[in-house]
Amino acid sequence: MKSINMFRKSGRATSEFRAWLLIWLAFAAPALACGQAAEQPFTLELRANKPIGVAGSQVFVWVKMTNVSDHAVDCTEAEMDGTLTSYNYDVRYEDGKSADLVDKSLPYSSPGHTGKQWDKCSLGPGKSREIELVVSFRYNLSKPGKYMVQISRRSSLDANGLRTGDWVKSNAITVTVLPANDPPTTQQ
Amino acid sequence: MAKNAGGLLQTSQPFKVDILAAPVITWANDPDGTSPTISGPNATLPNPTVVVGQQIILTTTPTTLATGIPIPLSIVSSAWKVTGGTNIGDYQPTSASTSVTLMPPLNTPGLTFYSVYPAASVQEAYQFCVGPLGEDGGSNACSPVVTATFDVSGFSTPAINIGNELLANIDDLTGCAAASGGPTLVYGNLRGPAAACGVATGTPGITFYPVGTPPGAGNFLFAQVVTGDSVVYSGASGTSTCTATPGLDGNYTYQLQINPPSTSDSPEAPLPSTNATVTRNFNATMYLLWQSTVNAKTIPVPLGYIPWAFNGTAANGGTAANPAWTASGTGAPVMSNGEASPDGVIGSNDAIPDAGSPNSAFVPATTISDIPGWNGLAVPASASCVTTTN
Repeated sequence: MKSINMFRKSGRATSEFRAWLLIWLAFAAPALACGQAAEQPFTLELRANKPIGVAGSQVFVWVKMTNVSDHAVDCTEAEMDGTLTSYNYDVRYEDGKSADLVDKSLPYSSPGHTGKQWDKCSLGPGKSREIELVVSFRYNLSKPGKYMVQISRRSSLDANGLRTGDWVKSNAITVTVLPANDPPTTQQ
Repeated sequence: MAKNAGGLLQTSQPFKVDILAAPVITWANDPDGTSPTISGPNATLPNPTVVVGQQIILTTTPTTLATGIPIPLSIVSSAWKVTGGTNIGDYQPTSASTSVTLMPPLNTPGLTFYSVYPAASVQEAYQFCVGPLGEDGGSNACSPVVTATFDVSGFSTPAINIGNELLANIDDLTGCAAASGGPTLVYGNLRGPAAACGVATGTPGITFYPVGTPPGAGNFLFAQVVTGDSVVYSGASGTSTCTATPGLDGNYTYQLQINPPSTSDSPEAPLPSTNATVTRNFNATMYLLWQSTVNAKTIPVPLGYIPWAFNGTAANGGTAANPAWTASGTGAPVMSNGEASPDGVIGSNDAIPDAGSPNSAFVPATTISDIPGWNGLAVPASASCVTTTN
């Protein structure tokens, strides 16, 4: 009998725990998730305007940067050899192996490199900007196939203007590159 | 009775056409959303005005003929004739490519186009023909020709002012894991991180200021096309020449800016210490465009462009282990005769915007060929280097 009472008491406690767990899941967990997201001052949303490219042509993706913080964030771009170096690029073959870099001598130790600094850019809270990025100047996408593309950007600048802070990652997208003699007839 | 020879939009037709009422042209996408009729004596909006780059959609009536006519007739052809102005079918630039779509077919009941430059009178004449007539079934009769007229408003004196025109400099930029940094040949004067490492501060080599009074609400836009870019490295072991393929510079719009008060360029090249000299010759054309915001259906239109060049050399007076770089050269707008514009005298280092407006190298856009086009981004010089060993 005692054990039964204890069981009943324990069952009540379990029910109360479940109720509290549900309440926590309903309110506290999303708040925590928001808190985690808020640590990153902006988000990066990647999309392919043309999911199908042709081998040998320039392959572009679009990235939408949205300021989700309560303060302005830097959105200044810079480029080296036609690639916007404000972003880090991760381009992989379908099997997960990293795609070949165009220039094996990075970081820019060989001759021939050119670049420029863009004008200062500041993105206000809640604001977004979308920019077209060429991927094929950095990675060799001349081999037909599917490529997974993901980019990231440092979350802030230090006092000297160096990019610092955590990497804010975009979603990953797939870009299909067709043989040059088999151009796409329709867009996906 | 003579038969119509078949030519549309002939004002003196051999075939009597009084049996056909004059068609009516309607402006289907007027900003007020009222779709006014704009042709004939009963036009609800005669002689309307649009701004440059504003989409014009014209529809016509009738599109079918009334039934019950003793002779079964149908509209067998339509024809437009557009006179005046500079008109195109479309222009939607992206970084990947852009080209001008010329006027659409003029043999449909409707017509959609854009006027690119200001014009006092852009006339759209329309006529349709019905058929068949006659026992041989080969003759047509055509309606009277009706005409609508638009006034196209735009900039009267657009220009690009130029500022800075600094000398080339050797700037020691901060490196990082992504780039080595170090001495860099810069058109301008920068300090801070290398381009791959962060955001430098300082003065750009050349600054472009948009000038002009717009015909209404809208935005200035820039687009820069690289017309030539080479870097030559000379050292004890030989010479490497790296040459870019012309194309759009960076992005459309230039640096993704919408209605900037100014924009700038500061081409730079890192300096490997194993070289004795590094020379960069950069040529580009900066286009100034404007896009109306009267509605969502507008295209950017060119206002003009300014070719310019930067020619700079870095010479290493030290050694590979202890390089001592000095810079020479500058940049300036280039006039049609190939000379630097008066305010961009080679060697000047005024850092003051030019007084002249427009800069004498500015070329106003007046024709379809002045609309900037490109087939992709400029391919960087690093992709094509040719080395000659000593």
